[in-house]
Amino acid sequence: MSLETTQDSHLLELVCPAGTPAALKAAAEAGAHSIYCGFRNETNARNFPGLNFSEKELNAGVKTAARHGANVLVAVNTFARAGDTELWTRAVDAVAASGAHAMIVADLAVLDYAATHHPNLRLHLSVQAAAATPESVNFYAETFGVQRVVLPRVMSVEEIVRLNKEIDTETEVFVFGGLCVMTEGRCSLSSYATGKSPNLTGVCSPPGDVDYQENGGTLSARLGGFTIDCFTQGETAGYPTLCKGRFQAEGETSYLFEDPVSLNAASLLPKLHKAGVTAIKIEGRQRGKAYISQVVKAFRTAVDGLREGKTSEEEVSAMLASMTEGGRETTGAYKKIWR
Amino acid sequence: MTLQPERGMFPPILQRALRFVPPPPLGFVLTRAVRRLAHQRPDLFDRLDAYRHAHFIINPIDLPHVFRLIPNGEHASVEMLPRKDMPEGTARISGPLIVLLGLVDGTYDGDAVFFTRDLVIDGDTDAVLALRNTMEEADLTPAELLGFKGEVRKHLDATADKTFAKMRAYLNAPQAST
Repeated sequence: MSLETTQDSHLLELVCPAGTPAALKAAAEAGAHSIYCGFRNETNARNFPGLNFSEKELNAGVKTAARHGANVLVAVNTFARAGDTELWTRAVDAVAASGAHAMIVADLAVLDYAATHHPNLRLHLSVQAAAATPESVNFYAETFGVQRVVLPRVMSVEEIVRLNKEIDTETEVFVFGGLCVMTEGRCSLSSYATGKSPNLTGVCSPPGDVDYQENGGTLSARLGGFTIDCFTQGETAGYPTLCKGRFQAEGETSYLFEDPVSLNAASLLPKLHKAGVTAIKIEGRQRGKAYISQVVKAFRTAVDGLREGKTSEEEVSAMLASMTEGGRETTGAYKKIWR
Repeated sequence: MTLQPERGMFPPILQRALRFVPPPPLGFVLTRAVRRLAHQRPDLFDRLDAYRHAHFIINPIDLPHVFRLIPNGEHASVEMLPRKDMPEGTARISGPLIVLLGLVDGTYDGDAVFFTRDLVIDGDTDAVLALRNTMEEADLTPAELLGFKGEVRKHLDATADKTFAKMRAYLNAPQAST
């Protein structure tokens, strides 16, 4: 069964992550409509050790997904280095040859190469491009034929409604997982601490620069030698990303930007559908099969329930409580309740 | 003293008793298992990149022994060492035995048990991530790791599944992620 035939039967396309071929299989078996992944190099924004796909694994993954009626989307979504674009153009060629359904791209040079050399390759604009206005989305659509835009996680539902009224491009939004609170593709916080860029080398808070130290029950999480947070005995831990660090400012210690929480917008699926959103996305290519299976199953149940007017908010939250960073959830910017 | 197990750990009385039990030759068995896996699926170990030479200390905190794994493909080794001789290593992964076993068979999500602090990581986080992702891709069942095949493997895995589930319940271990 191809996605073209299943797409009519679901109100929202469920786009799920895969960091390994085993995770891709788990996502397909759990009911993902589409699965996104990337190559094992700097061309994608989850360039972590041991993660991602070789070209051979991608080709096999496309076939595995197809057997389950799912499509594969490949992220080539970092920004190519000036004067050294070969790694990115080679990745584009490999995606085109793999039979993947679409490629997720952010960089103008990569978009141009793909549109010029592989005009039949479907292009999705990565969240890394941070396109949130009708002008920018329409520019990408008109110039490169981009057919879908992944929206930044800084927009409210009302802003998405307004945007969708002014564009013809499909929109995809994140609904679960790690929450980037900055304008993606333009954040350099991690670069300052580690010297490595999320946008150029694909690693925000690279694990090689992370260390944890437990002392008398208190766990210190550090990035590039800087202590980002300390967790007392019994307190749930988080990954030391600077935007979720606990800092002292004006005599007060607090999470200045965002708490170490995970996005969970399960309660907003009906609103997102009504807002004209085409696809919902789960974050977490760096997470394991157990996470993928559990989260995909929960959201597939929620998406299937939409047609019958069911809201599965409580069921989804109960199923996923243990999966979230900090053990807590937020609806992020969708409800604009941030401080 | 309490007999109520604490968050996945063997009860203290059992932990003390295990100190007097002669250790089984697990190092030898596991070394053979990892080398067999490397022979069958060499591509799997490519994921480790430079970390195939790393020394991973696997520390089941409720056992009197620790393991040192060097996942160097067909030259891989697993040593079982008394806790008092625990080496430094490139990275150390510590947790109750049932949690560590759950990471191998995919019962637990590594990040989830780390966030809840049922798992503790020391040392090179990059190395741990490379090992975790390689194990994820290996997608191994316990019997498969030990080299069993066909019906015997199915039977052993089914038995292991049930046994581990009962152990998790009895030991008050974290809820399975799958």
